[in-house]
Amino acid sequence: MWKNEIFQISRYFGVSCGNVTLDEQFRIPCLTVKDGNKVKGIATIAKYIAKNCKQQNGILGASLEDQANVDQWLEFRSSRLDRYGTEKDLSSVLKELNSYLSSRTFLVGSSVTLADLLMFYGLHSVYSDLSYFDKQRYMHLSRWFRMMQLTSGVKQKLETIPFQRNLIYPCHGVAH
Amino acid sequence: MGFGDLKSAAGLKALDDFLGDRSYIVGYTPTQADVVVFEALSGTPSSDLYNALRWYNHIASYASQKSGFPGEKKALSEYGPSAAATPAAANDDEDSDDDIDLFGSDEEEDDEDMQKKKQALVDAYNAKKGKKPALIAKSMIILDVKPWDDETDMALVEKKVRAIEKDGLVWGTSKLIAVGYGIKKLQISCVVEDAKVGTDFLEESICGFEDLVQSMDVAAFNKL
Repeated sequence: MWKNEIFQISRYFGVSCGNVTLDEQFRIPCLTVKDGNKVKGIATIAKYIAKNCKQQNGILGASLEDQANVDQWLEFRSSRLDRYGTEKDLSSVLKELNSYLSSRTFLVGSSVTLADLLMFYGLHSVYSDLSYFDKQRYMHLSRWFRMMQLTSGVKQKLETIPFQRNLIYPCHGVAH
Repeated sequence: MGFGDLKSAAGLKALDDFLGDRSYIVGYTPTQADVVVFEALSGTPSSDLYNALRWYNHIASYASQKSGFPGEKKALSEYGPSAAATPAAANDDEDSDDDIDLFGSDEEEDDEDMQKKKQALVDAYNAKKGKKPALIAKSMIILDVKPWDDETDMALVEKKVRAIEKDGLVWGTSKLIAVGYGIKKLQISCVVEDAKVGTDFLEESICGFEDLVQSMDVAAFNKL
């Protein structure tokens, strides 16, 4: 699963990703780079790939603040989204993202950043299990997710997650 | 219908509701539609209209790039809630909007690919469905047919019952069961296709032999 994600990220940047293995000890992906050194962890690898790519277009954040914020969301992704224990943990993660996105179009700044990409890939499997009710409950997150999956180059071979076109449940269900 | 007057509170509310599950006015990338609505606003929406505010801030962040957005400007009333009800604006996958290219070219290829795959799947499914006859729901019914008295000719009763013919009805085995006082009832099984034969039909037909049959009961009814 993680391997796929790294392939997707490298495809997004139009580079080959090289040799990806799974670190047995920590169960995290591990990328072997040119001189034999290893880069470990999904966020680290993603950043490595993004920095190695020529056309960055502010993918790591346009300003210094944005870059710091991107790092913060990558951290959020690895520490919260990838390591949730119970359904309750997951719903608190989704709730947090939802309320954060209520005032924003993208996670950081005003264009797609690495934070959006990684969050999207991380949430894809979560979203494929969500009910329509939950999708509407996390309306702001869903809006962002829907935009991301239709942003060119992002979704790639992943399944398109269906969303309802009209609000089908009473509005008070939206979590803020 | 559109948003109405975007300088009024009602218009802003409509815009806010509209943007609840959308990032842009049309599609999933900024277009001239966003610029038209943006320019129609008198200023920053208030903070309780957070959807509208979020969108406003986002569009404002493009500053001078706004003129470079794709699409053509239409009248303000062309955008908004009723426009969203038309398939062009609401569709996630099919980019059927005639003048606005919402997605990059490779996305379209993906879509075509998807469409082809989908079509292939549907064709395969139809072919499979065509070969296999539709499953017919059948039931096994056991009937108790009671005569008037011990002098009734049960052989004749059975003969008459078996003579009832209908599409989807097959008679099975039968036996005579003693009820008492020398009276015997006829127990007969049959298999019916649910769609074609009902117990009402059976009861009507069998009770039709008034001089022989006193009553008829369904002893058992099993779906096959």
